[in-house]
Order: sequence, then C-alpha cells, then structure tokens
Amino acid sequence: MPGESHHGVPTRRPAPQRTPVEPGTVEGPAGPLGILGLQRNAGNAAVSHLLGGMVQRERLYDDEEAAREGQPPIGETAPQPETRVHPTVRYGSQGAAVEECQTKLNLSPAVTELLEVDGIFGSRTLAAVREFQTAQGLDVDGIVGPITWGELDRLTETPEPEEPGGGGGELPPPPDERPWLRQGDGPSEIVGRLQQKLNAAGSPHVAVTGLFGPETTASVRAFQTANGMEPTGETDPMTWLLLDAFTTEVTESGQTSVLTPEGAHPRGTPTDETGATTSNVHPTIRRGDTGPAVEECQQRLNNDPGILDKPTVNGSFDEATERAVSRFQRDNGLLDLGTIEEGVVGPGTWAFLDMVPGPVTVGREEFTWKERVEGTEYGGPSRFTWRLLPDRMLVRVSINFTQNPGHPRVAQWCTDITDVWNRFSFEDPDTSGSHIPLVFEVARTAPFDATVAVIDDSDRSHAGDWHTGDTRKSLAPHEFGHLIGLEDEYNRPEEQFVSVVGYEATTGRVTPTSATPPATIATQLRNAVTQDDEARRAPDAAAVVTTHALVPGGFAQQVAQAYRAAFAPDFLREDLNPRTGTRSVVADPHADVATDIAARCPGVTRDESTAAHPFGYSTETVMGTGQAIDDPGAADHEHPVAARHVAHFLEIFRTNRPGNWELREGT
Amino acid sequence: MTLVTYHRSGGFPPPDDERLTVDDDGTYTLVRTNGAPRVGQFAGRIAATERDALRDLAEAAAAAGGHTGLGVPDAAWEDVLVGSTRATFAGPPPEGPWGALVTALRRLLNDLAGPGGTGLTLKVGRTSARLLVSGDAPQEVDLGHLGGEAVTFTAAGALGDRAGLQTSVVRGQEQWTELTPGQPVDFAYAAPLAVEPGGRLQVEVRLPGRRDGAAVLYRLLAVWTATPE
Repeated sequence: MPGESHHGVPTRRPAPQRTPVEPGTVEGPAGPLGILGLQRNAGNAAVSHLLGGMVQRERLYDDEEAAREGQPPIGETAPQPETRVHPTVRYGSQGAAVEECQTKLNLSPAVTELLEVDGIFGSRTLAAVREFQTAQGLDVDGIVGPITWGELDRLTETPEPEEPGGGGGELPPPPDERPWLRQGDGPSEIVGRLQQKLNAAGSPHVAVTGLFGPETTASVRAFQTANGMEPTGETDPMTWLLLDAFTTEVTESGQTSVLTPEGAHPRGTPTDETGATTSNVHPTIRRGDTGPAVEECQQRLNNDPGILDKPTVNGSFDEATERAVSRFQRDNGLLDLGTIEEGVVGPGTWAFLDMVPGPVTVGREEFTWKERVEGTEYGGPSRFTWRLLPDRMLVRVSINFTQNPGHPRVAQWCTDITDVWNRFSFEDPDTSGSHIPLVFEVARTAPFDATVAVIDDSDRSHAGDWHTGDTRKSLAPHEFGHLIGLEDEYNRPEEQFVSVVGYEATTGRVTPTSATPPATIATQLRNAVTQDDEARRAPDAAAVVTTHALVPGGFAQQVAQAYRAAFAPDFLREDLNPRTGTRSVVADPHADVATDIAARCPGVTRDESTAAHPFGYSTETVMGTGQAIDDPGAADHEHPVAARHVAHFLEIFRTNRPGNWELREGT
Repeated sequence: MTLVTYHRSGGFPPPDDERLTVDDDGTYTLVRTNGAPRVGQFAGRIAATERDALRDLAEAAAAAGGHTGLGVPDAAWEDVLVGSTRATFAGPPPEGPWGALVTALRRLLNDLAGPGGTGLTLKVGRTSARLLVSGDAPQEVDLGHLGGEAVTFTAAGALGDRAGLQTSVVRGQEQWTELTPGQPVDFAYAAPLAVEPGGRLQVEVRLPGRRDGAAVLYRLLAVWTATPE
C-alpha cells in the first residue's frame, strides 16, 4: 500500500502542495461541528464513504499532520471503500472523536496509561498520543491526523474478542470421613491423609501421593503389626481409630495435614565463620565490649554459685567481668582444652554458661544461618536482643535503613512488622491473670542489628534491599522473620518442609494432570537432565513439567516416587562452599528429586526452577509464599505468623520465668 | 559475537526469569516476565555510546575474574556471562567491576522493555486497568489463575488504599486462553481508590502463561500518576 512500509508502518514522503481549507470543520475549541461532526456521529465507514471524496479531500488537506508528513490527498490515492475518515483531534479537542481516539489508544499496547474515555483531549491524552506515535515510528506531534488515525484504526481491525472459554475441572468431592481403603484406591485426598498419618505415626515412610500403592499397603501392614492387629494392609475402622488416636491433624492456610512427632524447626541452621554447623548463637565478647550480650553473660555468671566475686550487671565487660569469666573457665576446665582464650567468652564458654541453672532477663543472639531453597544455598545474619520485662517479653531488632531512610514506606514497614508479629502472648493457666504479651520491636538506633537498603522503585525486594513500590504487606514481616533466624517456607523439598513446619507434606493436587503415566514422565525428566547437551537439560526438563502440567502435590509426588524407584541411588546434589564461593556437584543417594534435577542442570536458571518446582512444598504463612497466584482477585491477603515462628521465644520465656506458660493468640 | 549475557531467575515467588543478551554490534534480545508494564520478548539495537560503555564495563568485569557467593534470602539469582567469565550471585551485586556491570544491565533490562515487543502489556488508568497483547502473536495465558491488586501511594510515597482486581473471568480453575492482539482483558478495582494530586496508583497483575511451549509466570506492574496540584 502506498505510504506504508512492508511492515505496515507509514513511510515519510515529501510534503505535498497544500490547498486551501475551510476553517472550523474540526471539532474542538476552535469551532463548531461541521459535516465531519455529522459523519462522526453517523459513526461508520460506509457513511463516510458515501459523503464523498470532496469532503474527504478538503478535510485531509486541512490536516497539518498530513501536510507535514506528505500524505497525499485521498482523492489521489484511490481510497478504499473501507477507509474511515476522522476529524483531526488535538490538545483541547472535545467530543466523540476524542472518545474514539481515547478508546483506540486504550487498545494500544504501546501506550502505558489507560485513559479515561471522557471525550476531552487533555494532557494525558496528549501524552498517550505522543507515546503511541513514538512507538509507531510516526512524527511525534501529539496531533491525531489521518496517519495516526490510520494506525489507530489498524489496531481495531482485529476480530471481536471472544469470551474466554470455560474449561477447568470439577472440584473434588468432599472425602469420605474414614472409608475402608485398600491398594488401588485413589488418587484422593483421603488416601493422602492416610499417608500423612502413617508417616507421623512412625510407620515406614510413604510419599504423600494420594494413591494407595504397594508402599502404602506395606506401611499400613507395619502399623497394624506394631499395634497387635492383623496385617491386612487395609484401613478397617480399627486401623483408622488407632491412626487417629496416634496422630493430630492440623489445618494451616486451608491445608489439612498431620503433626510430626519431631515438631517444627523453623529456625535456620546456625553456622560459624567457616560455614560449619554450630549450636552457638551468641557473639564472642571480651574486655571492653558493651551491650546486652555482656549483660546476659554477667547474669549467667552471677547465677553460678562458684563465682564468689560476682560482677555487676551493667552491660560493660569490665575487669570484674573478665575475672569472673576466667574463674568460670577454670572451674569448668575449659582452659585445659587449649582452644579457649582466657577471659574471652566465645562459643565454648557460652555453651557452658548456657547450662548454668537460673533465670536471666536478657539475651543476645547473633549468628549466621543457611538454608537450601530450590536446590540453592541461601543464608544471612540474624541478630536480636530479647528482654523479659515485668509486663512483656520484648524482642528487639535495630535496623539501619540506608539510601532513603526518610521515605514514608519505612515507617509503614515498621508498622507492618509489628502488626503481623505482635499477635501472641504467654499465659499461665495455673495463675489466673498471668498474661505477658510477646512484643516485637523494630528500633532504628545504633548499634544496628541489620542493614536494609531502601530502594525507591517497584522492583522486587529481598532480605537486604526493600523496594518502596513492593506493596506486599508480607514483605517487611517476612524479611523480619529472617532477621530473627527463620527459614523460608516456600519451594522446599519434602524432608526440609516437614522438618521446618512440623507437619507432614501437604496433599496438594492428587488427581492426574496428564494422561501419561508417572513412570513415563519420570523417565522423560531423567532423560532431559542426563542428556549430553548440558545446555538443553534445564529447558527440556522444564518442557516436560509444562507438557504434563505438573504442580506441587500428590500427582507430582507420584512422578517423584517413580523417578526415585527407577534412578536412585544415582542422585546428585549441588554443594556450595560459602568461604570460597565454589560450587560443586556431589553424589548423594538421599537427595530429593528436585535437588537431583537442579544439580544436573548447569547454572541457575528459570527452567531449572520450573523443572524442580512441582516437587517442592510451600506454606501460606509469613515465611511462605507472599501472595498466592490463584488468589481470585483479592487484595494482598494475610499470611500470618504461625505458632512455630515464635516457639523459640516461648522456650526462652519458660526457661527464665517460673510457671506453666503457654502460647496464646492475642496480646 | 556476544558481548554480555545477563540472566536473572528465581527469588521470592513469583520468580524472575529475565534474560538479556547484547552482541558486539549493540543488537540485543530481551525476555522479561516480571515487574514491568510490558513483558515478553524484545529485540533491537542499543546506541553505540551505550554499547561502548557496556563493553568497557564488561571487559573490566571479566578482567576481575569470576565471582559466586552465598545467596541473600528471597533474592533472585543473577548470572552474568562475559566471554567465558561468569559472575553468579543473589542479592546485592558484588563490589567492584561486576557490580558496575550488573547495575548497568539492570537498568538496560528496564529501559529496553519498551513498546515493540511481543508479549503482554498492562495499562493503568484512574478507575480501571487493561491487559493487552503486544505485537502480532497471540499469547497463551491461564486467566483462571489471574491475580493481582491495585494500590495507591500518596504524593510523599506512603502506601494508601488497596483493592483487588475484578474481571468477568471466573477464577480459581484453569482457563487457558489464547489472547489475540486487540483482545483486551479489563479490570475494575474492587473498591474505589482515591489518588491524591501527585500520588500514584500501582497495579500488579500475575498470571501463568506459556512461551515457546514452556511455563512462565508473568507479573506485570504499571503505575498511573495523578497530576500534581
């Protein structure tokens, strides 16, 4: 078509000769509606064509844009019958043509803003027109003449949108309360519940697949045998009765599971400066140091009856404190070890101080912890002070907000943290009226426990950078959880998930998402991640996951189970040396499927994450996923602190305050 | 010849999957999935001055040798490859030349995701928002698992009101749909949102999609700014 490139983008031409025009035919502040106004009101291309070339010609020659950009008169270019003719609109224009222009701009992906269709050509419409013209390679003059109209019209030539189709499966029927289950049953949620209970009851571990297979039969038999029943391998009422008696169900964020006897371990594993696991969570202190760690040390020394020359509890590591520390070390034979420096309270001395009976009212924890998420090692520092005050237990983290510390979001984040975290108290049912709130406090004064950069944009945040446009209410509360040593609860392999949350793997989706048998999918995955072309491993594995629509839950676990059955013990795991930053792949027959897949894919890629994702688990708590992708239109919903997240402080409280204290929701 | 390859992936859900490759002649290919008003595939050529500056940064980084380290919780992994020298980290960029290079690449990632790509665009207005296909190719998305919210900010930057997004699509079950160019998905805000002069309204839309047969999770973010008084 003349005037357009083969890509449909108008090309520039020499300016044509300009012919006289009648003023006032343009709808807008400059004049009244003319013929074109009528034509516009008629509103279709056929009418505009019937109005004839004369009007069109006049109208087009009136257009500055056409004149400047060299658009020849329509009469000279044999207009197509379907050609629509619009009045030129510009800043200040009003009316239906502007409405049409705004409507069409709103259909352009090139324009960022969704305009109000109000028929008023104001500054926002002007900006949108300029944006549109820039994107289309037109002269950017903000005037909507024939060329710009042509481009806008082209956008609306696409077929009418179809109503997005229905689809989707039916909701699963509510599970029978306690049905008689046997091999071959499922996939169903109730089989998943049975598997959770078998695991929690200590029977041989079975994957929570929702499918009653031979392993589940064997586990039921083992349970029945251990409890003096006939090992039928089927869940008769008595088997259910005992399983229910031995296990406790728990519901969190709408997912029901079964508590493990081992309980939850939501805190990250403390590591020392070499990266090795340690039990010590205290800072090393020595003469000249001050602060709560010193105060705690002095209180613990004073609790030791062997220390006769008791230091003053003043938070200052003075000469008296040093003498008391030396005495304590000698009394406990610590100096004989040859590894402990006299008068300095390091991990070895703290280990003994922590064992001295007697309450303290202050504590200081400083440690680096690590976790493995999606097969990758993460970690960070945790530093906080707790104090047992007469009317509350205070946990204080002082954050040094940098870059934009005065931004209003900082105050909101601090409020978000206390809003979400301050919802528990300790109560002693034996002593009516004993009610001590657990209060988390964010301080902003030195000495600081953590540094957070305040970045004024809408990018995503992480533990070290908080972005002001990141609107998740769970952002600051989640990162605060890390500052007090809690691990993430998203995309974790089963073993880690169960250990962290203290309940069995959730059932998720148990029904098949693919007609392909799990064993075949497992083989496809294995083939993908073991092929010679390493660059193809992650993309091909991701494609397998996509093709079979694998999502976390029972069906994905059926695939994982098949993968393990076929390919264990040839499993790998990626290892990171935090000191050297060196990554290496090591054999680990006990690695989970997600870890094996990740280790076999080079680098760290989204495809690798996609491939491993279905085999992991997440919670919808403050430490889990921030927002659910299937959240049907709701604004950011609450991802609460779970009792396990504050259990450490309950333990501290119980140790240091007499009574039969329990955790209660509410302050 | 590739000048630099940058890949940002994973992180706090929804995960990143951003890839930028810049060749010696300044031509680039970019894939964005997360945090931009336009997501999808982009291609073009950066200005010669910008390319030269990037080359200087890349050469300095490569001369410094490879880098890797323990990740900061919730951070996406960033993987930068210059020749055969690689830096991989999650969190603040490393000190020195790699940090300078990554900062430049992060900026490019935002700058280059402009109009002209193939994918999805989120447009935001005062009272509603709209999702559109960019480019000529249809985009496969699961509208049944579409989520998001609208949030206001005061002129000073404080967070204001929040509202969910309402559409005519029934959500909660898979509804894979091939969105075609010109076929908008419109959203109303579930509650009236007042934006003060100079304030802004930010809309985030999250939805699963498929690109080249692979699963992808899109997170589009766009902002409407109220005219200052």
